[in-house]
Amino acid sequence: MFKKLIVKDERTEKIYHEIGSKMFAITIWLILSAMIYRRFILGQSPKDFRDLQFIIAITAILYIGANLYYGGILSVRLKSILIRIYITLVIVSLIIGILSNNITNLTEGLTSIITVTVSYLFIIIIYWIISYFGMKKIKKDLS
Amino acid sequence: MEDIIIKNKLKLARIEKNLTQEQLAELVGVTRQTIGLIEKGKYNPTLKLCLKIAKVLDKGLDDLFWIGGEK
Repeated sequence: MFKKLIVKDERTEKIYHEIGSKMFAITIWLILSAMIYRRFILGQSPKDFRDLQFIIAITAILYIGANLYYGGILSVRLKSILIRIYITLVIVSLIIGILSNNITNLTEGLTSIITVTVSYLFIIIIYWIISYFGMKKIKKDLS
Repeated sequence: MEDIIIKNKLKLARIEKNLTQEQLAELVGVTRQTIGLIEKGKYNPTLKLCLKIAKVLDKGLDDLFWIGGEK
């Protein structure tokens, strides 16, 4: 009886995936909006919404990592992609730090630059490793 | 890159075989709505589904489906 209530086929599966993708994007934007609202409208300190920052950070890392693994980015382009991701992450983080007044002097600025560049370098190395295994997987599938 | 539109003679072939949309859907393992949308050209089926439909209707793939603008 219950088997017939939910009838799935390739079209409905495609729709479920499209809706899932869009809902994921909407959820991320809502969390980012909540963070901006809390920071600039309510005037809360970033420490008050570390949990939201953590969710966004983990989600972004997993999302990019999954795309690199399952996408099988060609090794020729991988280096330029990772360099661009790295530079973008560093610049955006520093801008956000300056705008949210977390960086108010040169010492804090230098500390932030070192923290950000080292942290993101670590993440980029993880991405490189994930991409390497992704390419291995695709080569195995093709052989 | 524009979206490719796949055209078809699915309705004609189905009627030739005296099948309803529901019967054809049952035979190829999809919903009736999916068959209806394919016939109207509002859903592009996968190659796998195209081959299943062609087999059930005893037609060649080229006889049933083609890229819009080519025929």
